[in-house]
This record gives sequence, C-alpha cells and structure tokens, in this order.
Amino acid sequence: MIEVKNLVRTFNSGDRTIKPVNDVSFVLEQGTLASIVGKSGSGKSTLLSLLGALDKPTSGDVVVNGVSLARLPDSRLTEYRRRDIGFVFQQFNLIPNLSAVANVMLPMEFAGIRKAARLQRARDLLEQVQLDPSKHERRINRLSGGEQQRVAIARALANEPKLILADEPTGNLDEQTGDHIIELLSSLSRDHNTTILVVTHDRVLANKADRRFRLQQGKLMEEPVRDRAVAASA
Amino acid sequence: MDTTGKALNITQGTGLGDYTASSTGALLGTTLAEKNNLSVGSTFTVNDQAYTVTGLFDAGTAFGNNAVYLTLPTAQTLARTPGELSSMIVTVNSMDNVASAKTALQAALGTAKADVTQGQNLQTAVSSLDSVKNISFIAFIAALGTAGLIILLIMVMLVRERRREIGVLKAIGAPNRTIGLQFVLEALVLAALGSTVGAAIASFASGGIGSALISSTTTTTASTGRGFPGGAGGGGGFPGQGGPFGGASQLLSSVTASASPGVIAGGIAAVFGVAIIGALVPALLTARIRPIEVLRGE
Repeated sequence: MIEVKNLVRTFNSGDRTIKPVNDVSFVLEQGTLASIVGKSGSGKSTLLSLLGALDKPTSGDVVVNGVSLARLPDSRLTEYRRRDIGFVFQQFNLIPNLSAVANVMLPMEFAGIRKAARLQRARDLLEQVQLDPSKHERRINRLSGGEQQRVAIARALANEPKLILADEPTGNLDEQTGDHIIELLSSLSRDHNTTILVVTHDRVLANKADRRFRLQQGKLMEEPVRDRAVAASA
Repeated sequence: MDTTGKALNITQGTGLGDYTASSTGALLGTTLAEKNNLSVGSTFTVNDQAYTVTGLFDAGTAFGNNAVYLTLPTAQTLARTPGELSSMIVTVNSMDNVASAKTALQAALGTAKADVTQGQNLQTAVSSLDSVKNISFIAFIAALGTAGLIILLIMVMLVRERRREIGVLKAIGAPNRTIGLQFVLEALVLAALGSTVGAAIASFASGGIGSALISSTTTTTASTGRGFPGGAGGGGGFPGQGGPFGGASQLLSSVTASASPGVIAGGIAAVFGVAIIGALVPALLTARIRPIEVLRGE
C-alpha cells in the first residue's frame, strides 16, 4: 500500500516559487491500476519522481508498506528503487551503447540475479512487450522510439516490482502495440497484484484504470471511473 | 680490441688466433683493405716481410678502419722493439676495481719501467653519469606529474560526459559502489592500454634519446629502455655520459638506457592510482546527487 501524505515539491525560478506538487495526498491499495491525467507542466512527472524516490519532497511524505521514504537514507532509497519500483521514463532513459537485452538485464544485475537467469528473463520480457527477437541484441540507438519504449517497459518489469510508475508508457507506440502494453499493465495489476500508476494522455489507458486522478496546478483530484470490466469492453 | 679498448667487429675472415705468437697473419680495417684492393687471403709486403690478410674488421670510425693489426711479437719485430711496449690498454671489469688494478699493474711492471695511469676523465665520467641520471629522474617525475594531471582531467571529463548514464543507473537501483567500480575498471583498462602503448614507444625511443644525450662515438644500447606507463613515454634513466658531458665518453664501451624495476613499479602505481582517483571521485560525487537532478539537468 502506498500512502502519499501532504506532498509538496517547490522549485525556485528567479524570484518566483513554483509548486508543481502542492499538498497532494492519496492512498493506493496494492494491485491498483491508477492513472494521472493533466496538462503538460501540471506536475505529473514531478509527482512520479517523488513516488519513485528519484527526488525528495520539499515537505510531506510517501509511505510504502509502512516505510516512510522521507526517513530512509540514500542507500536504502537506492534499494527501494531497485527492488520495489519499476520506472518507465517518458524519455526512456536507456543506456544507448548497450543492447536491448543488456538494458533489461541491468536492474537484475544490481539485484544480484545470476547471469543465465537474468538473460532468460530479459528475453522473456522483451517478447512480452513484443520486441522482435532479431532486435534483442541491437543497440538502443539503433532502435526506433516505439521499440525503445518497449525496452524501457521491459526494464521496468525486470525485478518484478511491487509498484510500477510509468510516464506516458504508450506515448510512442502504435495503436496495436499500445493496446498490448495496456493489457500487459492491466494484467500485471490484476493477476500479479502489482500497483501501477501511469501518467498518460491516452484515454484508453486512463479508462482502464481502477482509479483516475487529475493533476491541475499541483493539486490532485480524483475523478470517478467506470467499472473496469465496462471500461475494458468500451 | 682496438686502441680505445673497444672490441673489434670482424666482418670477414677470422682473427689472428694466438696474439702472443709470431704470425704473418694480419687484420685489416675495411677502409684500408678497400684502398689497397686487399681481401681475406690476399698478401701484402712490409719491409720485405709478406703478410696474409686473415680477416677484415669494422671499427665504426674512418680512422679506426684505416688500421692494421698484427700479433704482438710480429709487431714488435716490425718496429724493431722486441720485448717492448709503448702503451698498453687494460680494461677493468668494474670501476670499483680500477684502483686495485692500477696498483697491481704498477707493482708488476715496476715504477722505473712504466707509468700506470687511469683514464683522465674517469671521475668526470662518473659525475656526469650521475648528472644524467639525476636529470632523467627529474624529467621522469615531471613527465609522471604531467601524465597524471592529463589522466585526471580526461577521467573527470569522461565521467562528466556520462552524468546522465550515472543518473539512469542510480534511478534503476545501482548502488554507488557499483557505479564507482564500473568507472574505476574502465579507467584501469584505459590506463593499462595507455601504459602498454607508452612502454612500447619508450622502448623504441629510449635508444634514440640515449644517443642524443651521449656522444656519437659512444655505443648506445637500449636494452630495457622503458618509460613509465600511461602513455607519457620517455626513457627511464640514462646511466651514461658523454657528448655534452665531456670527453669521458671514450671511457665507456656501452651505455644502456634503462629504468630500474622500482622506478617502473612506482610509475605504474602512480598512473593507476591517478586513474582510480580520477574516475572514482567524480563518479561518486555525481552518484551522490539525486537521480532526478542529473536526468532533469540534461
């Protein structure tokens, strides 16, 4: 379970103070698929960074399964990111001079999984995100944007995290692949009890969510959603 | 051995065999043989005595190659000074033995019959050798410092260029020690490659550098000539003298440009140490930053 308590993040820009995340609070039960929508610059990515312990809040706290991130030292936050979080970045943030499969293997390497096991799992994950096997060994900078996005999603799933934070995970995908990724994320939350929080402009993905939030000028508001089964059939 | 004590290089034929016995064999310098159309097996006459050319030699100098060598008794007969010597060169195996050899020779020959002197420039040679050694050591330290600074700056630049990669690795859960180790290993590989290339260049160049420092009349041999690793190259120490350091070069039959194992080990340790620090410090400093600051900053 994730509890977000009065989360605030401010930035100073000259004389002005910007609050992309302004007193945000919510609770997500384990296995929830939630979506956050909002205009560009509304603070969605900043909120994801705070939940993923990539950034520290100005005030407030994120409590994951009873553990307060604000109180964790850097080494424990690194461990939290490695074991509990799968992050899909909007800009993918893959290592360009490594192959697709090597990128997916990286988090497993940090987690101490032996090479044969992580190679097999990396290949399985790349197949799950429908990356052509002939491109598994290809360097990242020789893959298209959509292919890189699939590698980024596979990497986020590598250590079977409890929480997946995805920033526009279908933004660069064609409709068919996008639908497949949406189904993959949905099945992860449904069948593997993985909590998934996606920032998206994709209406189909947003409608698939169990809970839907809108971030507006740093304030988070929950919007009503249709039943998941209904939404899926829509 | 020629008149300077240097071994003759016989290019054709053979030597004179027993140099203490009378013989009509003669060793000719290549220039003298050429001028007189003589070759191995040819004969020539001096004071009605025929001599046969047993071999030709190359002394390395025009003056030296205009000489002819006979066995000692034959030369004494030719010079009508049987049993006499005008001068004799004695080569001592170590400078430490010069004084005792001089004393022994004087005692054996007698002070009334012979003056025994050591090379006049011996002390100069030794002090000049020390000067060369000191100069080359200072140059070595300076080159090491410069190479270290260059390696440090290159590593800092390389790490800075890869800040985003460090941010990504941190974001997906890489511990600081893993990031630091990765950059250190890369730096060590770079330093090892640079050292290998530098050592290879230095081993070839050290002979030339030695020759530049030592008189051209002195044979220079680059046996181990290694610079310190790290690509900075350069000959280690030059335990020799001559050329600009005075005429003492004639006392030296060969000069070897070499670096002692201690100097080489010190150079390797210093270069690898600098590479490790140069990679580790900026990598760890970057890894301490929140991942989002690195990712956002790009």
